[in-house]
Amino acid sequence: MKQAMGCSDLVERLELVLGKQLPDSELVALKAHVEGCERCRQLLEVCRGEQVLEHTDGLVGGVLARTSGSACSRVHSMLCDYVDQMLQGDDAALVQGHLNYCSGCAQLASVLEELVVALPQMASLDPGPFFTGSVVAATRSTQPPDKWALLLSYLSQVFQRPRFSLEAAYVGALLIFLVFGGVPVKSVGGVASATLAGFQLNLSELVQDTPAVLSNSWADFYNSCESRVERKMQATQVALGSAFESLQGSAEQLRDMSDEHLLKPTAALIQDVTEKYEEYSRSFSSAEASEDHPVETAE
Amino acid sequence: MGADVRATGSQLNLDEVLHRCRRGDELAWESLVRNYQSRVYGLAYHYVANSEDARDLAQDIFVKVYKNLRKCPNADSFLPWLFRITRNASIDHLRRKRVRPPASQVAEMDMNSLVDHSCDPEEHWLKEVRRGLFRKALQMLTLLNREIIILKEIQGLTLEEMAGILDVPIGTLKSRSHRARLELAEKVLALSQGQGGTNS
Repeated sequence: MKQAMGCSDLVERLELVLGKQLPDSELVALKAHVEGCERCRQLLEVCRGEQVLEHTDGLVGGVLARTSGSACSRVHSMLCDYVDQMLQGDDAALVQGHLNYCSGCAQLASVLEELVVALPQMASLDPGPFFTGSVVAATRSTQPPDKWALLLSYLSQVFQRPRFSLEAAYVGALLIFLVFGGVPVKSVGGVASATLAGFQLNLSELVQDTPAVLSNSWADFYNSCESRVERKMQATQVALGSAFESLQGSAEQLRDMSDEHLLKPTAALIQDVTEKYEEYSRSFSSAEASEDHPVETAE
Repeated sequence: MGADVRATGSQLNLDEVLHRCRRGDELAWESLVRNYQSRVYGLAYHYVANSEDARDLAQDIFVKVYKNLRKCPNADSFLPWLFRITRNASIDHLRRKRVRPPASQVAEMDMNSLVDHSCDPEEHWLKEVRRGLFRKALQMLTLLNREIIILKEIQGLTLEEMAGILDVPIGTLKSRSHRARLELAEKVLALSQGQGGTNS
């Protein structure tokens, strides 16, 4: 006798149904039930993969969150290559499959595709109709500098650097130390050290010879100076002697002139005045004596 | 990277033009300026994000190029050399101003100055709005990421040329390149959503 099947019977025998291991008698009874039960028919179709349930995004997200995590970051790392069509077949299909269901990544891919087209078009901008003329006018008075001008410009830049004085002082101190410091560079070897050693040798010979050379030079200089000073002194003495003689002659002439024209007339005048004064005194004395003693004189 | 291809609108060989410029040929110099002014101005604009500043800066850059023409070795290396001068001058300009221009200043650009041969006004307007958004997003990136986008994605330089200009190892540029693109796309997406709509 054929036994009637219900919804619970299908659930219990679902594995046998999918594995096609259900006895024919029970299979006929289940088919009769499924034909009349919409819910059981849908369950069978879903289990057989004949129907895809809608609104499963939340389910996939939930599963990924509890297992491997979101695939969006992995897709982001491949998205530029996907847009540039540089991905291999499997990777491209996987990314495409993700983009079919992930709206965020799909939007990002869409913007990237738009940028690929739009960005190169932004390379050029029109600066305006007068730009070329203004540039040509600005450069008209300026000729391209020649090599010497460039060299001078480079040197001026080098000399104006703030560290240049420090570097120059360092190099100078190093050279002085190497040249005058007596560093035994011969043992080091190399062309530069050989050159420096030769220079040091020449320098030492120069230093040894220098006192004698300086002494001779000094003696010559002293002798020449002494003779020149002596000649100058003699010439000065001669000049002074002639000047003294000339001055002496002038003084004698002046004295003669004063004797002739000043002293002699003055002396004669004084003598004349003196004589006249004595004569007057004598005459005055005789007159006074005659007035005081007239009788005696008469007696 | 052929020199003739990059010299848009010019049938002359760049080596010959450079040679004439070095000899003081004003006509050759004018041709050189005319051929490269939009790229120099565009690159300077992407750095300073101000049309007036970029125009003055581009003029100074060309004067500097004129004075240093003898230092440019050949035509193949002319564009990287020109971009290096432009980049250094732009960075100096930004340092002098001592502030990075905020993203809000980007919108002040003169839209009419853009080079575009589109005939449809509506399409042209939508494209300009979108480009404004890209520029705004570009200003929100870090300096290195911004320079990578400007030089590689916008100006089309190779990694080797970029390494010479930015003085950054090629490996670093390679690894940062994808990250910079992704960061720019994220900024664009955020700005688009902030403006009430996504990519149209």
